[in-house]
Amino acid sequence: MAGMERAIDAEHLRRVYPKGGLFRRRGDTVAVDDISFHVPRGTVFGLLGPNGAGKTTTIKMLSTLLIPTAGWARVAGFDVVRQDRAVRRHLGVVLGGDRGLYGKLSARANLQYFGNLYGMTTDSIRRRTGEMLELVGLTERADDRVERFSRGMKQRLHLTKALLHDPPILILDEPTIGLDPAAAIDLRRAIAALVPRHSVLLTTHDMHEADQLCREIAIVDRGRVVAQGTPAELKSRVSGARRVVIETHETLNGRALEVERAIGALEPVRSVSIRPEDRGANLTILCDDTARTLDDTLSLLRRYPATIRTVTVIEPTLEDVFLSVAGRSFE
Amino acid sequence: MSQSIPAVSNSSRRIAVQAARASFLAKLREHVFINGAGGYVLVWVAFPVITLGMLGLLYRSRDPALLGYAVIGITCGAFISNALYYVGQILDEERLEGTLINLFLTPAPRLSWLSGFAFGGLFETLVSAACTVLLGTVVFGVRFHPNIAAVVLCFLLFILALWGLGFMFSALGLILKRSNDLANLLSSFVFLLGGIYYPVSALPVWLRVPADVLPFGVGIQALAAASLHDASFGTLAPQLVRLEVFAAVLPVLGLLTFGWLERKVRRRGDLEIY
Amino acid sequence: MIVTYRNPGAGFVATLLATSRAYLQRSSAYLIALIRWPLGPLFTFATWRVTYHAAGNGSVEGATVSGFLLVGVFGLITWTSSIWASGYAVEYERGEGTSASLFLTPASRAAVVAGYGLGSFVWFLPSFAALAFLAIVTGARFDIGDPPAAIAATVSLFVASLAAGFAFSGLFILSRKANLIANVLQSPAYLLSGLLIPLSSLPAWLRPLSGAVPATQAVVALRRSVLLGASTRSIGADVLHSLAVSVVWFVVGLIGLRVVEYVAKHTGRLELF
Ligand SMILES: Nc1ncnc2c1ncn2[C@@H]1O[C@H](COP(=O)(O)OP(=O)(O)OP(=O)(O)O)[C@@H](O)[C@H]1O
Ligand SMILES: [Mg+2]
Repeated sequence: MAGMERAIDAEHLRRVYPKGGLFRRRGDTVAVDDISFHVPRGTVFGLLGPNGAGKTTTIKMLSTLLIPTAGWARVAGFDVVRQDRAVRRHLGVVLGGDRGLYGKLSARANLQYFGNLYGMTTDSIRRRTGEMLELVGLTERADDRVERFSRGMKQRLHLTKALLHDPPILILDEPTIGLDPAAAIDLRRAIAALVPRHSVLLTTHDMHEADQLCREIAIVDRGRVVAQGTPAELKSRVSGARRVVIETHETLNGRALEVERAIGALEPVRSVSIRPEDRGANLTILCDDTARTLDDTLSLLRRYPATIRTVTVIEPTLEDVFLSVAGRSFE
Repeated sequence: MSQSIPAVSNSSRRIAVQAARASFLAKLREHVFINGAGGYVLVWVAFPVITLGMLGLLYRSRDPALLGYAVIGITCGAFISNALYYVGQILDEERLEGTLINLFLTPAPRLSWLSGFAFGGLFETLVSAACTVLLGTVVFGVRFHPNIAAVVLCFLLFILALWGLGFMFSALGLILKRSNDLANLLSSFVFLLGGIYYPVSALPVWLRVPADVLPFGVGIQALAAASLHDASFGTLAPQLVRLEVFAAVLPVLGLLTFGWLERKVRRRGDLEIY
Repeated sequence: MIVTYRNPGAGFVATLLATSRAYLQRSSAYLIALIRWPLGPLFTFATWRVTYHAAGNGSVEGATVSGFLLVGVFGLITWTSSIWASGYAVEYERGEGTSASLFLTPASRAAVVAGYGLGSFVWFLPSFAALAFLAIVTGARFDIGDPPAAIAATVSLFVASLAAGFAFSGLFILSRKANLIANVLQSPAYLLSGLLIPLSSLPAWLRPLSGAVPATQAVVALRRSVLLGASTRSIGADVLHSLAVSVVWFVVGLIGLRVVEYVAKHTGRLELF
């Protein structure tokens, strides 16, 4: 593991679900068509995509719950099909949702049980259980039955369970789903703190979450990776989405054309349009670099009788990225 | 909003009938077609048939009269099990699938879908009853001399009493959870005291007292007499009277219990916790 | 070192014990389970005791009816533990929605299955004490001529039940009809293994089938050693027969468990319920 550059390698993963029963086949569902990506060690990597894109299916293949129909994957350097036990040992998984924990057992008993299943010694189980419960703030409820926990508490307990045996790699399926904004922020902070000690693969359909947390993102749609890169790289690929909108108090009577020409001549600007409004004017500028455009435009406007009412800078979001690569909007 | 909403029927009787029919069909379809023809039917057939096999092997050399009784007892036992398992356990299955709350959210009366479930399970019971009787006559040579009218009357009263008991069971299951365990516990209790393998008279005296409070022994006794020995209404009278009381009281009692325990569960707030 | 691990052998034992403890904890959350499991065997015993009484049988194969049934119901308990607990283990997990969590761990599946069986058997122990009492009150007579024989027979009965549990658990994971299968198989197994009625009353054409059930000869050996004073030597053949059949079932079960996990992953039905 020490020399490993990549925590997870996925190459041309494909997964087809047979429809119908065990014996009667009625066509297939292609959940994952062809997905390849690599998670560098010590980073957070995001799979971003709409409902039904194949994120969970991909994760199940990586975590040995499903066998790929084609392609292969390695987790911590171990093949997910042939070396499944080794993979499980090096992996912590949060499948999320309401299920996956024993409702009739307390939080502590759940963790102790799973600790045993991961082969930990009694000593380390006791110590880690205490530490982890403390970390996610469940110490006070540790001896309550899990069935009485709220969604958010269960989700935190899921994370605790996944971290219990201190795996080098974590896979999180929509970790913040169903959490209130404050709890989601807490959990995101906890995830961000996992690197570089751990490597994390997470799925989400929350753009901001992906943007905030992930070093790299693969955007998945209909079982395929449609774009991949750092959030900044991805966003830089979308053209026409970067805008600066300035509203002035003056109407720029008669000089609108002159202003338009002057702004249009600025280097990062692609196009500009000026529209008179009720009391003032609206300048919408499409550009490649919002910071420089803003700077230059503001100093240019100082030469005219134009007092500025509002300034809006619009950077492309991952939503725009999805729109541009998938040809339709998200969800 | 004075508009009528055509998709929703507003007469509560229509809702009840509709719910009963839908749940009946759902169960029937699930058990007969989805699980494959033979799926659960096999369970319902295997148990009584094998039990009768064991009893038959035991009674054969001793007392042929007991064999006849056992055929009737085990046939009735299948109906009893139906009441125990279907009405009670189905609620648990729904709870497991997370759909129980949705059932309770519908405006249909509980009685309607519970009955629908119970009668949906009746198919298996009828098949298993037929197999039991067949095994008794073909393999063990039991001969019937039925008084048809009496058999029909006894059977209807018996089913009515069971139906009422079924509601009580399902109410208990609602509150105790794990209806499967409950049904198993109750059925071992019923098989001891209900006069199924043997007439109640074979029990030690002190066990006959609780046995007489149950509708099973008297119902099976009456059915056995009516179907095996052509018993007249006159000879059956004492048993029929008791059976009628059971048939009248138990359904009412069952509904009351269900309503009471349902309120209790709602107050406790663990309807959907398994 | 933040985390230390056990060696594989210790890990197996720890998984087994942890599973049976968790099983006991979980089951004891239900009042009805607390009542039902201990009472069930008592009811079964009583019902069959009355049945024999009604049939007029005073003794069965040279033993008292109560003694005969006591051993039979004990066999029933171990069988139930293995089928309804071990065999059903994965089904329980699926019902609770934890089967994926379980399959994500590197723990030995065999240890988990066996843990369920052990937990369930422990569950039954109080019931067995009450059962023995009931049997003695209703006239059971024992004749243990050779204690090692009784022990050997008991061990072979445990092994037989465990083997059956293993053989079934794989089937149960795959089919999603575990309840159905277990129910269908339960009654014939009672009949064939001679738990409640003497083997000698079975028709001749059923005898070979009877011999293929691992518990059958173990129960015969237990009855003879506990009720009729048989020696180790005289029950040796029965015990060996039972062990041999158990080994076959065990191997079939282990292979089945492997195959089934593989198939389940291929069809993606592991955690569907
Ligand atoms: N066990 C299964 N059997 C058959 N089809 C399945 C199964 N699991 C998933 N699918 C199908 O595979 C496709 C991808 O599902 P998947 O759960 O991987 O999507 P996802 O990206 O995780 O979506 P979401 O954001 O909603 O969680 C869907 O069309 C789904 O219906
Ligand atoms: Mg998903």
